[in-house]
Amino acid sequence: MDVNLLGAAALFGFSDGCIFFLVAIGLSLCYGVMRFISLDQCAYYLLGAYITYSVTSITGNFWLGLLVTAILVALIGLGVEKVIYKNVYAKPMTYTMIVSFGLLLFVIGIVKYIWGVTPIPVGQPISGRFPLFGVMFPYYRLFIVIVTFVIYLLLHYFLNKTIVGKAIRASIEDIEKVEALGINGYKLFRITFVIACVLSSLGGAFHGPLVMVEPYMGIRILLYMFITAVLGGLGSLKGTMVAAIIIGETMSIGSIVWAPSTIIVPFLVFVIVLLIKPTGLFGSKLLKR
Amino acid sequence: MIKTFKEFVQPLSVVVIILVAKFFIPSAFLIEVMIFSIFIMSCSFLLGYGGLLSFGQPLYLGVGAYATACYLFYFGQNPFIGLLAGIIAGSIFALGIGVIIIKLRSSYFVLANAALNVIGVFLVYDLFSNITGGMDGMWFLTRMNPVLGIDLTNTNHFFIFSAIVMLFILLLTQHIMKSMFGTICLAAKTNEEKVRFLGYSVFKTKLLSFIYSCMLASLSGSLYAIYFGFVCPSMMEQEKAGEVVATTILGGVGTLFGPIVGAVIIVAAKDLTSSIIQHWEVLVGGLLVIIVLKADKGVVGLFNDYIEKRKVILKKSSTK
Repeated sequence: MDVNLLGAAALFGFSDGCIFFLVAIGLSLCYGVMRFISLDQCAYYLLGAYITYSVTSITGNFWLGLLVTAILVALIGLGVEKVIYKNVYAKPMTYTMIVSFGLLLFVIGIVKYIWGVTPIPVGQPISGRFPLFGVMFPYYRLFIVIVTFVIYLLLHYFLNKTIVGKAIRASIEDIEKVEALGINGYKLFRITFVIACVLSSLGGAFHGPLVMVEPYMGIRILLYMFITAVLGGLGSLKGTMVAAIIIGETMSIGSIVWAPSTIIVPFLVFVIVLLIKPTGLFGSKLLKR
Repeated sequence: MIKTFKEFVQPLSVVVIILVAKFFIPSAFLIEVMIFSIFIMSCSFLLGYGGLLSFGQPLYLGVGAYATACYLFYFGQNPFIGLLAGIIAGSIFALGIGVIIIKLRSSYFVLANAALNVIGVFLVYDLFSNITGGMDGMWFLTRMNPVLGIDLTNTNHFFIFSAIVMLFILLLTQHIMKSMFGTICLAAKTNEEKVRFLGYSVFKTKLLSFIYSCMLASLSGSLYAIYFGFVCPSMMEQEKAGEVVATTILGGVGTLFGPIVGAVIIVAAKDLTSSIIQHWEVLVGGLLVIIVLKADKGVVGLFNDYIEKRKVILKKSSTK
């Protein structure tokens, strides 16, 4: 096998992994704090891709597109949490999954109405390539990697140093004791959910130029998102990052060995890890099932 | 004796209603309802008795459909053996898959199924496309021969045949629900620990209910394959899973007749609104959210509640 090709695959897999991290961390935090599998993170990912595309093509400014996306999706997330999820927290887990899957389908339908079903190619906002280990690496992918690491560090700081972040981390372990301390659990839920939505939408906005923007990208990311979040251990920031890079690399390197492994290998990794270690790689043992 | 008769009479009357309805409603609609409700029964049984939700049910439908199609396309011309091949393939597939994925936790099980479904569609239309015909599917309508005077390519014959299958499935499901196995399933759904204390294996119980549910799904897939005379990968697309779950909950989870009620409502709604609404996802998605928020017992569940209430009121008034 060509060493250069392998190097290129490893680098490209790294940036793909960063996208998976952005989408999966939302699911992971939501499950950790609310015991809630929020499949509709894919819907915000989808909305993020489309809104950024629209605003960028109208105003011609990618950064403005990102800003508008983040604000709009945060508002949508707030609304969804207030209207729908508030009434579902008490129900069994299967029902929360059904509601969130219903939301995902609903958003896909809405997107089809507004933007149509044809895939839209999106130009990369940062053009140009530079040589790295004998490979021409696009600046845009480097940008994604850097931004993701900045977001990772910010999240790390937020969860470990601020009061709200500490409360969120504590409620991942045991929400009842956090509430006993006088912290409003529902407020924590809302904050976590909005953060998750914004991160997912950023993932979609960044992923748009790499793949074509189309309504079913929401369903396609679902499996990678879920596999990443579970593999890393639900509720764990570090685990999600490690798992995202593992999934990105196995997909990217696997695909140059045997093309169909893009779909099959991540799933096999996921099943094998779960059978050996049901909490995922870095999952908290305290997390109740 | 009266009790067994009573058990027999409910499924029979449902099938008789369907047979009588043929005089008023086009049989294409009724056949669609019957096959779809067998498919929904698989999801309803799995969720209501196995306690397992699956977003990958279309995969098992696809397994049955493709097994039937492969038999009729390459080997024989007897549609009944094709049907049998579909059911057997579905059951064996479920056994192999179930042993692995039931060991995952229930919330992981849901998405492991969804992932498997995507992989299955991919295998069918890409990797094995020289066998399955890829996106074009397989056509075998002219290869099916009549057996003992029954010609399944004839709509009337197929209608009667699927009604008989439906009656058989209703009776079998009712029997399983009322048997010891059904009771243990329900117990395992509420409290696994206590079932283990009683000496039953939770894993085996869940595996069996999973296999039965997959058998129903593959049966409906085989029926679809024989009815249309062709199969294609879009039959088993993962997006269909939302519709399946929505219909299950709309009808009433874990009830015998819920799937039929749900199937009638959904198929009728689809037929009526198809000219107005092109993108069905909006309706299914909205429906899922509203049902879970407002009426998670489904139509049959609400009806049963109403009957119970009436009984209580009647009892009170008679004691006075």
